[in-house]
Amino acid sequence: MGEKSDVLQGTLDLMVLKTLESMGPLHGYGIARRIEQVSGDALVLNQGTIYPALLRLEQRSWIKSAWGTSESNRRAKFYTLSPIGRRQIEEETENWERIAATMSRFLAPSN
Amino acid sequence: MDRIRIFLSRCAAFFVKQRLDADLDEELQTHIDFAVEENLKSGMSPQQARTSALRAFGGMTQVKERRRVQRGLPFLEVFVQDIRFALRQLGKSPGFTATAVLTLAVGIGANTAVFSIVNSFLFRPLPVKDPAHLVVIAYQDPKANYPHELSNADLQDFQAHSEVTSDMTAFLVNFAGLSTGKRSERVLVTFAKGNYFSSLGIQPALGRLFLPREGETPGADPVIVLGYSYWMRRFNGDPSIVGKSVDLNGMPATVIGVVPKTFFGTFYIVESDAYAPLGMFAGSGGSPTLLTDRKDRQLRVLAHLLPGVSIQTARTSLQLTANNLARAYPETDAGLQMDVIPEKLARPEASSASAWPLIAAVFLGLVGLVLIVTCVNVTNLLLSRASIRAREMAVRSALGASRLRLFRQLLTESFLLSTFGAMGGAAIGVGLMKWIETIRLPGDAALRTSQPFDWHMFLFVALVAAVAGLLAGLVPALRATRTDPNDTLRETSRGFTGSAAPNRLRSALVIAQTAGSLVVLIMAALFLRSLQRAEKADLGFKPDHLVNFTMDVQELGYDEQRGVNFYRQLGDRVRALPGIQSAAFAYSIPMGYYGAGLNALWSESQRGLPANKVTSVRFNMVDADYFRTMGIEIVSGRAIDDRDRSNTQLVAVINENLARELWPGKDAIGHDFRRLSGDGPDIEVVGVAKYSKVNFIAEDPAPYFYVPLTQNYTSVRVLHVRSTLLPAEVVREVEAQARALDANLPVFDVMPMTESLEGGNGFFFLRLAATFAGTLGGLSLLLAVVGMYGVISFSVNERVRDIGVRMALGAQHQNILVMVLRQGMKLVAAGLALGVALSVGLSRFVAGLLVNTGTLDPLVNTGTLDPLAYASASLLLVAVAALACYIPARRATSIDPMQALRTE
Repeated sequence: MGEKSDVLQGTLDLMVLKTLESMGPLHGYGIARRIEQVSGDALVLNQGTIYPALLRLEQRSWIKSAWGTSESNRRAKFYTLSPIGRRQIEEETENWERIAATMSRFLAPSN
Repeated sequence: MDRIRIFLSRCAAFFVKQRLDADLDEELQTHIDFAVEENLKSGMSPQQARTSALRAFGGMTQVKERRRVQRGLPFLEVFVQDIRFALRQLGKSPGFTATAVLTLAVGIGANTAVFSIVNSFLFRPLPVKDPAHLVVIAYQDPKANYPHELSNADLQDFQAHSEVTSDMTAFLVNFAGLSTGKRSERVLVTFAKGNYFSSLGIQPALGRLFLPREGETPGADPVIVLGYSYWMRRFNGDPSIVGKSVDLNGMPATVIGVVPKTFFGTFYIVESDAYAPLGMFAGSGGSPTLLTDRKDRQLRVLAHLLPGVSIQTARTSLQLTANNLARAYPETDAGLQMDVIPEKLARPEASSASAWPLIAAVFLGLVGLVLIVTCVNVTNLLLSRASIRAREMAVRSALGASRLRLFRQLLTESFLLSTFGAMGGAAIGVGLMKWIETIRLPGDAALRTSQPFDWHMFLFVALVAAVAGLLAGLVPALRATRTDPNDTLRETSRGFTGSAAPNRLRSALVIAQTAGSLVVLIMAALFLRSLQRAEKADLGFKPDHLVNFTMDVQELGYDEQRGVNFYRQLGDRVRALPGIQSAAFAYSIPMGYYGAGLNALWSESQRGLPANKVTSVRFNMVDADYFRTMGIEIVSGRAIDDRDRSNTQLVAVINENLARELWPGKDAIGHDFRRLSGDGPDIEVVGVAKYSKVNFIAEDPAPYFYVPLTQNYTSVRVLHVRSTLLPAEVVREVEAQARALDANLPVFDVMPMTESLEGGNGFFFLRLAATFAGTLGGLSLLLAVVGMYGVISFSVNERVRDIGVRMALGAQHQNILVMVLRQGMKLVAAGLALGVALSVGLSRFVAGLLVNTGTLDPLVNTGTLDPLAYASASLLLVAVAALACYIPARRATSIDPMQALRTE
């Protein structure tokens, strides 16, 4: 499957937040790779699309960014979960579960 | 909360765009570097590693663009971009830009000038306390259809019983002689009730103002307050003037204070030089009965309505009091109808309340039309430009610009044009205002016209500019962005521009524009025609070779005996001068500023009728030589002459209209009538004079009568001198005689009668209206020419190939000329038909509005279809339009067919 699927906006945001929650401060490439690894082959996304998502989250002050140095001694921009963001994860998770539950009820074979 | 945070972060980002761009570039570069590094580790070649990293990332440019949009304020950024681009585009075609901006500037300028006049007359509040609730209270004379002033006695009753107003004050405006030591000069004085300043909330700039109890007794409280400008002009702003004594009409009065600079009095069009209590006017002989006589109605009444009280409620409430007065004083107050008018509408006088808003509406309508014509013109220019730019639009659209984006871009261009136009227009408007300020009424009371540019004006200009930008730009922008880029690109490559549709639209616009211009031209012609009619009309007297001198011996404190002697001596001396044919004194000048009030007349058969059931007539007081000097014909009987003395039978000369009204079908000579209360002495009619105009240059003939000055004293008189000399010589000789009798007497309004007729009741407003309408007509004609020329010459350019083919096939120059001219004249003909129809409808409509304003009807003589006005305006437009078509038509004939075909 060469086609890359569009990912729901909110979904990507939540993935980024969850990644930062479990991995701690991380740069954009790291976040993208982590999402790819976790989702396996199920989701192939353009890595670039996480940058608009990162800006969105930053504008809401859910994450913060700062230039730092990676393990390989490369200068990179690191993203950290802010206290507001940490609180938001819970809410967003609930939100997502509600949507997922609704969707699965729709998709369940009716009889 | 989130939204605010996002907005703030966006605002912040707007100002650090470059840094953020660099930041993002670096971050994305790092991203790729990480990916390449990892790919290399997994064993790819450097080339492979890079390609794979980029593929995984996706569209780099899209990400950057999305970030940019998301990051800053895209609307503002695009706006700034649009403006920059529009400026560049306009700069590239200076010819088009200059034409469009100039056209708009003219249209907006005309609107600014007219609005600023309307603004200063109708919208600007008086600089007094609570101007919004300020009203003028007047009484409606059942005989005349305009409101009048009140008498002090009635005012006191209204004051005592009013439940709708918080206060009530009154004033009258009159000339008076003011002298310090020897020099006396004529000043405009507001004589006011004691509570005048306190109820208007005016604080003195110096000293004190009137006390509420001052001025209720004739001659008591001899105090005077100076106007700010007059204080500056006459006393150089000297503060020590307070406490000094001056003479007002020969009566000593103490200067007690100066009004603030912003207060100019309440007679809107002229600034008062001084303020004195009403008692000073009554006491100094102006009108001894002013304070007590119910019939002596001279006061303009101002009041503040209580909060929540409507005009209608106030009128009803005051009418109840008026009804009681009518019962208590049937002799004087029967049929008293009260009127309450917002102060803004009663400027300068209550009697003009219905006229000014209409005049304002007529002229605002005319300039509005000019603005529309202007916008249509610019629309046409933009349409022509759009078809030249069709290719540019198509390319931009093909490159991914959305329709909305292009639309915004084009609209930005037209708004930019109208903004520049508005700047130019404001400048033109201010220039026109400066010019209007230089117009002076004949006479020495300067009109108060200096009006600063206020926020009303600013708002108006901004609004007009916005409307103009939208009107002019909307259609071209919609049209230019609707085209399919595919078609356009294919078409233009074949060198064939424009389908029939935009041409049809442009033609329709030219028709609309021609029609609009014609309407303005016809209105201008109607105004000019009514001026012409007034100039040609028979005045009933002969104004040539007459020179007027006005004087008021009251200003020197003369009593009646001294006054009579002075005037008799002056008359004798002047008549003895060489070159003088005759000279006569009178109280009022025809079409002048002094006029005797209405007098109720009782003929013998009407004795016993209440005042509102009999004829009310204006009159003049004249001396023996009056009719001969003025050239007014006596139809029967005799003129007033030397036989009429203070101790002989009271006599009058009446005009033919009064004779017809009082004694229809009979000879009036020998009959008598009474005036004022009806119990006065009998006045015998000794002569009947031909009708002559007296109040207003365009008046309808009305009854009028003349009584001898010997039997009716007045201290103010005009001396009419008829002579064969040049006016300047007459002036020198007569003034020398007046000085010889009393060196201190000011003689004013010295001018030939012909010049005096140019005054406010004479030709002034007719001429002003004609000048203004004529200017607008000229403007709209110019716009019509520009529009017509633009469209025809553009269509010739578009049809170069077509014309080339025709000529190659043997068409003569003549044929081409006729073809192009016919195209233009067809549009003109359609425009003419539409314009005439519109004008007829419009003038019917305006005439309908004017039914109840007798004074305006002659001014805007639109009620009747004036074929000459219609024909001359149409002919002028056709001639000028033909010329505008002829020039491009000539160019069309000079097209070289070979060249036209080869350029393909």
